[in-house]
Amino acid sequence: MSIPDYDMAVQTRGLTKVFKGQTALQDLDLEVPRGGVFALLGPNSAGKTTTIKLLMNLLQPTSGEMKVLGLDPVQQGVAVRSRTGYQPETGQMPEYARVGDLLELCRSLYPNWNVHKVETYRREFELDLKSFVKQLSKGKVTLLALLLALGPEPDLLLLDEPGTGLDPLRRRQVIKLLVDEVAGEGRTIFLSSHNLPDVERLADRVGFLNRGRLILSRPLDQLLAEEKKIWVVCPEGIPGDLADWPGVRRIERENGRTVLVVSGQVEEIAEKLRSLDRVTFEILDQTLEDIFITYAEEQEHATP
Amino acid sequence: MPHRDIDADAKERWLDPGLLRWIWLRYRWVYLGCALAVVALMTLPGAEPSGSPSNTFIVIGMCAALFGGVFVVGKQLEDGTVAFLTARPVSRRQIFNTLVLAGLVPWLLFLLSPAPYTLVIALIRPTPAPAVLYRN
Amino acid sequence: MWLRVEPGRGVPIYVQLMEQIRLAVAGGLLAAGEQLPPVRELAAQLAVNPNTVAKVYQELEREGVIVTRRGKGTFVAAGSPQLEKKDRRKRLALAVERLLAEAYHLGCRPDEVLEAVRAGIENLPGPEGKELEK
Repeated sequence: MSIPDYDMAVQTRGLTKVFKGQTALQDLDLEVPRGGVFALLGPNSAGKTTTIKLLMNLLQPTSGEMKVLGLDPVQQGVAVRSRTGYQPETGQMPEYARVGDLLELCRSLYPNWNVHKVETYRREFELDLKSFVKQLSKGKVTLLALLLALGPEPDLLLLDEPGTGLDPLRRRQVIKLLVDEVAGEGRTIFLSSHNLPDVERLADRVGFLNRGRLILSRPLDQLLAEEKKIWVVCPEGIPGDLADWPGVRRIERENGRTVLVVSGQVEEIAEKLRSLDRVTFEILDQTLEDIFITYAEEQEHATP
Repeated sequence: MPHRDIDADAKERWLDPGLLRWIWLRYRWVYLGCALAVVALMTLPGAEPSGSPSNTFIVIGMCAALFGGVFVVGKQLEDGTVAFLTARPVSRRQIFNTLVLAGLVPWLLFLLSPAPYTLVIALIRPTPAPAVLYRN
Repeated sequence: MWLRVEPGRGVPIYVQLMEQIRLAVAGGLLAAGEQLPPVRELAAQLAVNPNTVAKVYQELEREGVIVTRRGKGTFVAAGSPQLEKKDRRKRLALAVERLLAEAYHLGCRPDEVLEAVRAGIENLPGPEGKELEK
């Protein structure tokens, strides 16, 4: 009765979901390696929640395949869910249930429920066993949902906007907690967020989702190192073949300045620019937000 | 040793014991209330087949209140429960079976009492002779 | 620890940490032989991914800024970092580029820049300051 071994915590191929003529997710090809933290970024209605719900088998896919922890969520939903901790974005909890009752229920449903750890976190989150869910503030509901996701000692944590309703202090507390959880071996975290600074702290790997399509999926360090903008000042005009230099995605004009949008090969481009006469340039670091906007804009232009 | 494994999906039980315990913990007072209501129905004058028509209406009214009430209370309590449960390691079939069973219990209690038979008989029986009414 | 991390600046977190530690060692804030917290602890303190901290420690060890003693922990290396001359020159050139770009934006003249650099060297604490002055 051992689970099959897996090296991809999550794997999808051509995953598509259509709601009443609206395509929420189109052809998702995603691979999330085991261990570490993967962050799915994107604006609202990009399809992040849809993706997570599909992985939990809360929604049926229209087409495509997926594997979670080496198992098929459609055929083996119970097995997947017994090893996955799920934190929904909002709601989805019985309003007239007490915190204590929900914990008891989960204790009997999950095989590896860790009572001791749950109690420790419950105290840290200041959740009263006797409170009804309806009485809890938005932030406390988020913390309760997180608690219920951590309790099963899951191999995979699926967190949909884990910062919802949390003040900065609590958000920091949650990040520290997640950092600690991931330091334990083998556990994988898959979270969706539009809080980019927090994602930069946590993620090993990020994916950009926009209008149902995955426009990027790369290790975070690599992404920040490769995606740059370079201001170039060429009093004698830019070299004719500049647009064709390897690594140059496109050339923009901003306030009379020439800006190279670069994806990789940053060192090489800098060397070449240095070797040109009377050319000054400055390499600008791009934040996650900047990079996302660059790629989203490209996508908009490509598919009207 | 985990009691849920990959094979669980294949040889699934009709009802999950954890869910059943949950239902019992939440609804035991509701069920008790229903049982008492049924007992009250049974002792109400006119609940026997030979009772007066006005009491029959009371019986019908109380039944409607009982089951309407159970339905409303049930819906209120379980708002969000189904969404919550579908994300847990139980199958949709088990959730459905458990909730159906939970809703059936008041009806089973009702059937155990004479009340339904009284109702049926009162409905198919013609109204009693005026002499009976004037007696009281 | 007093290390700080500012996500959302465009500079990757591991770069920020590496610079802070290097500066602290060069400035004497971190003494030779002083112990650094283990990866997991520092990650939890800073609220960053432990892999990031691990990467920082790895890189700094490669540069000779810190050293890991098996079973004991991670410590600040004694003496000045032994970077290859080529590496040092390249790094320094990049820093100079950044400095000049900033000065350009501020509209400074070259002699103003040189003066600022000289003043900075004079104010460096610790033996490193004296070394550079030579």
